[in-house]
Order: sequence, then structure tokens, then C-alpha cells
Amino acid sequence: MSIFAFTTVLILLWSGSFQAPALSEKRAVAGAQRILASELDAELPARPFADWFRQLVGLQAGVNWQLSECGEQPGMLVAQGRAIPACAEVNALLPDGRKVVVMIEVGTFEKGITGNPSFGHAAIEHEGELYPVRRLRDLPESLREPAALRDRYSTKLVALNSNLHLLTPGENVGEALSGVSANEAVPPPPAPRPTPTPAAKPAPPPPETRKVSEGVVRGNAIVKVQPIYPASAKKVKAAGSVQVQVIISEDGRVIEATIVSGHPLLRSAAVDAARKWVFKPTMLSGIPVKVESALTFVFTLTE
Amino acid sequence: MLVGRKRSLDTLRAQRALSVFLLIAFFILAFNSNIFGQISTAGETDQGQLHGGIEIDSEGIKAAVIRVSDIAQGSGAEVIYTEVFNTALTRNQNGKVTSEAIKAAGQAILRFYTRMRQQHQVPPRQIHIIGSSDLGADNLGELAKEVRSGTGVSMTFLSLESESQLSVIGTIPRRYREGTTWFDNRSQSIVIDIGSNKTKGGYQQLRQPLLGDPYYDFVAVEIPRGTVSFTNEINRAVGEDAGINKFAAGARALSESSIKTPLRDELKKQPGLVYRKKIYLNGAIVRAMMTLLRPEDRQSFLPLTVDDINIFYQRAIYSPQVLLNPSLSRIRNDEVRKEVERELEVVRSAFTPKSLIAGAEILKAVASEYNFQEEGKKILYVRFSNMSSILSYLLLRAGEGPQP
Repeated sequence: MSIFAFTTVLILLWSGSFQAPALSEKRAVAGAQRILASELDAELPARPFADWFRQLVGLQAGVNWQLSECGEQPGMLVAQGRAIPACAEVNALLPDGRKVVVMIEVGTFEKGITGNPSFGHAAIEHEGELYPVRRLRDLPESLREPAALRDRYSTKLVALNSNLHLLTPGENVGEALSGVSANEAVPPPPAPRPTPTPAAKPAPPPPETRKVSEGVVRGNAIVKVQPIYPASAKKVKAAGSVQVQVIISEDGRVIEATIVSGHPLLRSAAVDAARKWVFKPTMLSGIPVKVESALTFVFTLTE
Repeated sequence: MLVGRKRSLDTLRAQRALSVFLLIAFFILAFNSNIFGQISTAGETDQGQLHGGIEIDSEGIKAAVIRVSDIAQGSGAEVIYTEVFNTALTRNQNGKVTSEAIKAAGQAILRFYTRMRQQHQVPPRQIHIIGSSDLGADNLGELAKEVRSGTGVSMTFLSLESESQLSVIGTIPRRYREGTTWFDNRSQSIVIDIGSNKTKGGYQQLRQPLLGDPYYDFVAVEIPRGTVSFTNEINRAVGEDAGINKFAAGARALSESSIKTPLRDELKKQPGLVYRKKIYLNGAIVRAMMTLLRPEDRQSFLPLTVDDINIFYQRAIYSPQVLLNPSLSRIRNDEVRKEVERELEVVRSAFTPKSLIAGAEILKAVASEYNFQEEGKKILYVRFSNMSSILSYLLLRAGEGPQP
């Protein structure tokens, strides 16, 4: 019997029909609606999240639930062989034009529902600006006092013009067309202005330096400087990628740049370029922090 | 090369005003489609308020002029002229647009440009010429050169991401109403555009980086097959002389590898798109389908179903001549009938029975892979969608103030 079962499993695996269960939108959304708000944030009442949210936004708001992506850049995650996080998204359009979005993490698109739903992130869109809501407990206050939003951190909505690639005759068309991704091309929003509110609890001191992935740190770059290909390297046809470890100060400047790997003849050019990059300050709980990351430069020889 | 690097406070304020304006303007446009295609006289218009745009894609060249009264106040934009010139700018086997096609495009662009200057008095610095990412040929520099030598304007080529953003904002109304309640529309919608060489999609997704601020990502989805390129591929497989039935069998056979698999691959990278409940369907084959199946329906946003796609597919195979000559007996209004007849002419000149079958096969594949049949999903054909990118672009440029 056990041999039979083992064989069956083997056949199923081999035939590819033994697949992870597909993520059911109905189940995922129902789970997020039913979970107690207190389980998403201990300071909220012990009542179903959907009821709490509906009362918060009011009966006049147009509320919509759906399954949604909640991670950053899922295409990148796929390329790295990682699962894409799935969220039950609830968005509400208030009669005054404000929009509230709350993302509740429910699992991944590949594995289905995993564990209990948890608070992912939330934001309020108001007069063309996006305001992050870091904790679910902050949402009621943010909605009650719209003016307070202006004192918090805001992100301007993406400006269309910053994504466009201009081509002039003679320019390399292929390069201009392949371009950079929308997010790379968008100048980052202005540096957030930390303005502590009197009622806010003092935040714990942030750790000395935070490690951040290259993808994230590149997304925060305001000034990107490409290295100059050294003539000496060109002569010997030295090419390839050079990785530089960078430490970025609280105000977004590169204060340290050290070589991790790469051709010796290309290293100094990469370090020189990395030192000139400027980033949007990275915020942690509203406080700018020092960041450690890497920048990789690719040197390609052309005819 | 990128623009808009500096962000002073004033610029940010202007951009905020622009964002709000864009949303309002398109909301107005979305519910007043009859302004498209009309020409009105500029009258006492300040020339600084006029902006002209010409967009080149693989299906043809589109031109539009808008009048923006006061963008800072968001008081409105009016489309005062639109025109479409159908020409094939598809690539040859070497991945290049032929020099004859480039010349023809250059001449058409110059005609539009001259009309904008002379008839509509648009200042030259406020005429923009853009190239769609759909073009994708290797020798677009030659096209840019041709355009510049004729008009003096440097072309701007859109990346897929830029185009997705323009298309989402230009096509999907920001909100919709049920009873007395307004709902956000963009967060639950996607745009799918079946072009000549590519099938593209896009949607707006709120994202929150691990560290940093939330932002709207305009997700772009693309497969390298459109109606024309898929028709060519089928022709290569079954032979140019193959009959309709053999062609249809070839289309079915190739659909899996050329259409469905790439669609699935895109879905793996952007799984959220299949959960969006509203699908705004665009592209020449969709326009052809709706013109041929329901010529009398003139709404700006025309709901359709998977059944429509299946009927279109069946008729394209079994009765293409009937399909291409629909009855207009239900159209009582002479003006509407003339407009429909013009549209039918465009469809007949652009499509053969074989390219209708190829397009219908793509439509079927998109519908099945992206679960159009799922309960609660709403599919809409957007009548003015072919102008959405150029109009979004013009509003954007208008928002930047007087051109240097």
C-alpha cells in the first residue's frame, strides 16, 4: 500500500500535476475581513477588521476589496526566484475625495494563504499626494484630522514627464528605447520632513546603519553618475561589473565607497562615480538613518 | 535622457496641480466622448493655450490639438482637432522600417504639423511629436531624422513604462458611481491594448518599499505579438496561399506557444493583474470587432463579453464576408450612419479575413489566460482609446507652462 502511495506521489510530481494550491481571492479576502482588528494592531478593538474599517470610513464611502500585489516590484522577485507576497487590499473613496488603501498580507501568489493575515501597509491619497500610514492605529487620527497629514511625510504622485525618454537624431535609439524602468527614471520625492507631534511616543533610537538592497537604494537615487571608462582599461579590453559597497549618510550623501569586486583597472572609476551619487534620505520610524548598500557598475566595451 | 530632474517647491506645487488637473480633465473627457473628432474654431484663443501633438505607432499617425484655458486653476482642456492617418509602419524581416514607409510617415507628419501651424495657429514650440514603444524597429533614428528635417521637431520616443502610464491615466476614469456612492476605479482596473506588433497591458498599483515612501507603480505588461505580427507568423507557418480553414488551424496551433505562454509568463511576474475586475480593452482589432459586431452602439465605454469575442472568432472563420459587411438597418440617424460607414471602411482597409482571425485568436487567448469569463468581471471597449496617449502627453506638456 505504502509503495502504491509513494508511486502515486512520484507520478503526480513527475507529471507536474501536483501543484501548490492556487490562491483563492475569495478565501484570502474573507480571511482579511474576518480577522480581528486587534490581531492586526494590538491597540485596535477586538472586532472584525472589515467592520472596523467600514465604521472608520463611513457608510458613504465606496469600499472595494480585492486581491493585490503587496510587495515591491514583483518582476524582480520572480527573477530572484522569490515568492510574490499577496495582499487583501481594501480601498475606500471618501465623499470628500480622499482615498484610503489598506493592504493586509495573506500569503503569496505561489504558495497560497500562509499563516494569519497581518498588516502590510496603508496610505491615504489626498489632493494628489500620498501619505503613508505606518501603523493601523494611526489611520483613525489621520482621517479625522486631514490637516495633520500635511505635517507628516508625503509622497507626490508620480509625475508623468519624468518617465519619458527623449531621443534626438544621432542618439542611440536602442538605448533610449530600452531605457530605465519607470521607477528608476522617476526623480524621487522630496526628502521627508520629520515633524514630531507632541502626542507621539518617543521613537527608539535607530540602529547605527541599516542594510538595504541595491534595488531599493537605486530606487532612492536622486543623482546617478555613470563611471568614465578608463582609457587604460579600454586598451586591454577590461570589462565586466564592479561592485562598490557604499555607506550613505542620513542626508543622502555617499560617505564611504569601497570596492567589493571587479577588474582592478575599473575599480577607481567605479568608486569615483559611486562617491558622486546622491540619495533621498532613508527614513526609519520617521528618523533619517545611515544606510549600507552596494552599487554595481557594468563596463561594456563597444566597437 | 530624462527630463524633470529638478524639483523645486514651485515645481512640486505645479505638478500637484497638474496631477489634480489630469484626473479632472480625463474624468471630463471620459464622459464627453463626443468632443473627439470634432473641429471647432479657435476664436479669440490665446495661442499659448494651444498645444498640438502627433503620435506615430505601428498602426498609423494620430494628431490632436487641445486648448488649455488655465491649467493652474484646472479649469479645463478642450480637444479642438483630431485626425488619424492609417499607414503601416511595421518592421521588415531585418527589424527595420523601410525607407519608403519612413518617407511616407514623414510627409504625413509634415502635413499634420503644417495644419496645426496654419489652421490652428499652434506655436511651433508647443507641437510635440512622439513615437510609440510599439514601433520597436532598429532604425528609428532615421525616422527621427526625417521628422526633424521636415518639421524641426525632435521626436520623443516613449518607453513601455511611460506609455503604460499615459495609457492608464488617459483611458481609465479615476472613479465611478453606483447609486450615490463613488468608488475608486483605477485601483481595480487594467488596460489591455492589442496592437499590430505587440499586446500591451498596464495597471496602477500602490507599492510600499521596505524603507521609504509609498508610490504608484504603473505596471507594464507586454508580449511581442500583435495582430499583424501574428498574422505574418501564421502565414509563414501555413504558407501565404493557405485557405481560411488551414490558416485558422495554424492560428489555433500557434496560439499556445506564441500567445498563451508569453501571457502566462507575464502573469507570473505581475500576478495582480488577473484579479482586477475591470478590463479596458483597446487596439485596432478590438475596434474592428465592436464596429463589425455592434456598429449601432455608440457609447464611449462599450461593455462587451467573452461571448462577443467567441462570436467574432466564429464569424471571422466561417463567414468573414458577412462579418465585414454588417447590417446598418438599426441605425436611424443619418449622421451616425455616415460615421459608422467611415469606420467600416477603415476596418475593411486595415483587415483581411486572415488578420481578423489572427486578431480574434489573440483576443480569445487574452480572455482565457486572464480569466475574462470570471464572475464579476466587466470588459469595456474604450472608443477614444486610440487618442489616449497623445492627449495625456499633451496635457502633461501643457502643465509645464510656456515652452522655452
